[in-house]
Amino acid sequence: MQSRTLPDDQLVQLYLSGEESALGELLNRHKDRIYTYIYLFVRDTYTAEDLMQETFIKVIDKLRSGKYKEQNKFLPWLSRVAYNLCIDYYRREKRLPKVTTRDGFDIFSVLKFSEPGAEGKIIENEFSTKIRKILEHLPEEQREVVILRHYMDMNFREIAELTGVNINTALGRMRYALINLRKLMEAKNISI
Amino acid sequence: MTKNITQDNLIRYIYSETTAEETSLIEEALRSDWELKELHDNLLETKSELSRVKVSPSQKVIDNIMRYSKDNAPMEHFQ
Repeated sequence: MQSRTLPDDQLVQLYLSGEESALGELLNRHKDRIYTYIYLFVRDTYTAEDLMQETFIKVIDKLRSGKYKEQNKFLPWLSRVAYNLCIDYYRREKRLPKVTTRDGFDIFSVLKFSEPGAEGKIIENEFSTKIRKILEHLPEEQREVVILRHYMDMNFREIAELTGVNINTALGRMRYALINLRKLMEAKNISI
Repeated sequence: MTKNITQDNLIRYIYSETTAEETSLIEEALRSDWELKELHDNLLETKSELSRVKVSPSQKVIDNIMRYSKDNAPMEHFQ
């Protein structure tokens, strides 16, 4: 089967007819984009890997129960599943009790930014690491627009709908994000 | 800066979300307005840097997903 040349929707049909390798191709095609998005959103390797798995498990279950009815929109549909899981994660996180020691040390801040172990090591080049760290300095709403536009490939109208703002607000946030990112890159001497 | 070209329009332009008419207006303005051109070049450069970011999940994650799919395949796929 020449699955590499087939469009997503045909791979979905093949998968539903029992061709497991079609799922492998869909995963291979979209894993980096979806994972980059999730990783930049949650900023933690373990959480990102859990959410990545959860996303595809949900997608598998939805596909098999006939819940994907759109045509030629597999990636936006997949992206939406990932986005919803990230939002659910943040809602759950907000409910987590903050454990602070007497000297004001937040235990969760250490857990949250732990480094990946050898088994769960992610592949990321040096440049990506620098940019990812710089992205963390952006205000939350600007970071969100950057991630949705760049790594989920949503247009500004879709971003506005998804985040519940008007399109001019989404555009304004992107403009400020790019301006701020440039300043941060210049300050940290990252190649521009 | 050219009056009719807002910074938000410029953002839509660098992300290829302008109509053909808007695109030609912006391109015309970029040829004559150095201030707009400078802003455009800066935004475009930062945009292209962002596009280089890529993070890949570990193979373990991919294997777990494939295993879940196989272990939960509908019965008819085994017949």
